[in-house]
Amino acid sequence: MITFRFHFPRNRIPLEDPLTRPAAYYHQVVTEWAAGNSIRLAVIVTAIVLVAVSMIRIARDTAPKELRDFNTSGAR
Amino acid sequence: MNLRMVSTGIALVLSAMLLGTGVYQNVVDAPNYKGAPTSLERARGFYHATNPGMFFRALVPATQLFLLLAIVFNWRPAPGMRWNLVAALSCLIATDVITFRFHYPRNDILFVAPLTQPPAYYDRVVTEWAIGNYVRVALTLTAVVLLLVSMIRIARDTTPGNIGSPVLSMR
Repeated sequence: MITFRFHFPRNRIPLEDPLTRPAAYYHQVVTEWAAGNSIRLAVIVTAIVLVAVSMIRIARDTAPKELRDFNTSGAR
Repeated sequence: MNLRMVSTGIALVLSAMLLGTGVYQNVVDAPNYKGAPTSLERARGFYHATNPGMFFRALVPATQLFLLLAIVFNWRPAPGMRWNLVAALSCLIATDVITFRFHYPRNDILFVAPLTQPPAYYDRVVTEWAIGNYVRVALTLTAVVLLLVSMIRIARDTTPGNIGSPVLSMR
């Protein structure tokens, strides 16, 4: 969503359209693009953390029976 | 969560970042270097503020540091797993050797030295650079797989109630 709605229009301005605007305008577009990319990074980091937690839980849930039998807490 | 898992997990994420950027270089960067001298003049102009080298010079040592920490924290509790982590670190050190011995001389030709050779010469250097990068990607992928296997084992070993179990001593 962020890529299509926010970055694609800003990709077009410096990389496809004629460069007829003042330099400050392009500087502002690049700054906005970088700020939006920081948000994408934050979203991806969140996804990585969620995947890592899921992987840990799956690894524990699918551990061989002899390992699971030692789990006395019941919480995974 | 414990230091065994945290250090290995961070090393895994950083290695995966290295893998992604390595693939990106082969898919996006290398093809754009072909067509010298114009392509290389543009590439030199584009990298006027930072360049991929600055990124890798920060990320690679950080990855190796966390891998080293993972080896230290897993050395005693998981004797079988330690060699997976040592192998992963060896793979990343091997990518450094390739970078310094193979890629740096080619980087100098492509991005620093005056472009006085015929275009075919530079295209050949770019092709060699890309092939060398595939080797780096393969080594990094190996490290990622080894770290992933280690993470799964650590997760199982550190299941609440398992720590110090007799089952673990058999590994």
